[in-house]
Amino acid sequence: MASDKPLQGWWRSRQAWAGQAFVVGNVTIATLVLGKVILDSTVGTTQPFEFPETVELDQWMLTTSEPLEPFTMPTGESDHSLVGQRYTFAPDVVNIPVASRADATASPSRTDEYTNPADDLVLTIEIRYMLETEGFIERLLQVHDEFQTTLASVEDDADIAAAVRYEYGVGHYGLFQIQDQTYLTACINPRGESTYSIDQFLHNRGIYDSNPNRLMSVLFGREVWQDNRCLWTHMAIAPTTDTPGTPEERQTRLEMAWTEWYQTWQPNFPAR
Amino acid sequence: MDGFALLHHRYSGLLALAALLLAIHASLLVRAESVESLNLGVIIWVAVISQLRERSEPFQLGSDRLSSTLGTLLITLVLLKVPQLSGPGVFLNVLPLFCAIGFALIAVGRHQLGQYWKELSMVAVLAIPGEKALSKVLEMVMRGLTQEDLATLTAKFATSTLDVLGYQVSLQGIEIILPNTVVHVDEGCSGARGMDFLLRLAIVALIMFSSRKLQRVVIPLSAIVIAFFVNGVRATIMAHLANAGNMAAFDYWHIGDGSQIFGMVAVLIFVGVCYLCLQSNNQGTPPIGGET
Repeated sequence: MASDKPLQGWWRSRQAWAGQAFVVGNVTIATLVLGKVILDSTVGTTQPFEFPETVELDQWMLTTSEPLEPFTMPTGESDHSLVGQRYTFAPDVVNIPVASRADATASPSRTDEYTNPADDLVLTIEIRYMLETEGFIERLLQVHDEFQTTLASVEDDADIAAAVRYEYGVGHYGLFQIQDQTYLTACINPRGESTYSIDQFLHNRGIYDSNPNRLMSVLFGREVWQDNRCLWTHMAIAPTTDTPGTPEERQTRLEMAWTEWYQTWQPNFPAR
Repeated sequence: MDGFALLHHRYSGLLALAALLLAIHASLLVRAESVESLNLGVIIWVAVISQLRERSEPFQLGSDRLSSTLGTLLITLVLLKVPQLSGPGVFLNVLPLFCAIGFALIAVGRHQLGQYWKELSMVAVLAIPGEKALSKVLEMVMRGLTQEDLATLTAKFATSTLDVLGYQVSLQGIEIILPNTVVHVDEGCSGARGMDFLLRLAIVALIMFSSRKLQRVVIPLSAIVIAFFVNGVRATIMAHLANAGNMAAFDYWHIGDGSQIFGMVAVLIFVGVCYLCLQSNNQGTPPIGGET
């Protein structure tokens, strides 16, 4: 019985130490986390997304790159974009065999260039990071000035050809042939294939956004549940001389460029 | 063992932990750049601390091992996720509540948790997700009753005020048509955010001060009315400035520093109303904690 007392004292101090250990442990973790928050200025902030100055496209050479004005719907819909970039490309003649191979790799000198008539083309790609959108491309096109100007210049509606096409592994896109201009326009989705209509966009949201694996990311503010964003890509190919190739040729080149564009951007969709 | 006086003193360890958790929450709020959540956070933490200071019964610090383990687990899990946070979101809303429960478990243990229900429910007000959660509920009720939302009502209020002030004004939906301009009362201008802020303050006030039945109705109601009127006045001034073509002043009051002033005025009026309304509680009845 006499030994009870020191044992109890020892036991109690052990308990006190255990309680102390909890507090010390928590203080340590909290100190580390606070240090991390203070030192790392990216914690707790959303980094604004920016498009790169340069992009690469096989068989095309970037000529100009300029940021686009923020885009809003004058009709009041919520679709808008804060950032966008317009890239223009000329056909890349370096890929056409030149006389000296060493010369071509050392410096892409343009002295040996030759052009064939079908290469007198200019490819314009506008990409906009759309927010709060439903992917209703036809509605977006209605307020796209350049596109509307081209449409308005058409006297005979028979000169307009429009189609929604589907490519396996890429998705849906709209294709327009208006006089000598060829347009390709689509939404690159955060998840799922590219879309052209509201239905296709919402179908993707329904299928891919309600993945329970995303729950944690949503809770941490890294993703939103109904992910109503899209990279709206609007491409145009136009001849620069009077002797362009056939519209079919241009359409094929446009579709090839689109496939590559899609494969570049879908995996690099903005993190939020 | 006795050398580590600071470590050994359990109270100072707990104080340090509380200060660190508060600092983490505050720095995340500053990062999120949401003035309203930062203000609300500061107000609620001040309220919680003053509530704790004014407790009549002494603190019984000391916890059991299960509670300490649970609390540590809760705090650790939440804190380890903090570096992954980007931007405001549900996580930032619930972080203070999880930390508060974890801290209470470590400090006083699970058996005494109930004694601190007031403090914990005040922190829970922060955890209501979304900036417009409460006003959205209100708007849903209103839509069901009158088929009108806040923006329409605000536009109506501003139009009739301008009419009384002698302007030539007419209203189409949410567009106020003035001689020189048309003002579009957007959803963002409907005052829903300000209303949500005041409603949260109202809940805190009701928890903090033991209230009577009538006050439970009057205080939230006055929050709604004050938020609506102050925002209505703001919309009226905006419409006047747009009509006068004073865009510099318009921007100042619309998105500049001026836009904060209206929120402050609303809070001050609301605090005044609460003070008058709750003043009678302190007369005759024992202070906080007593049943009334």
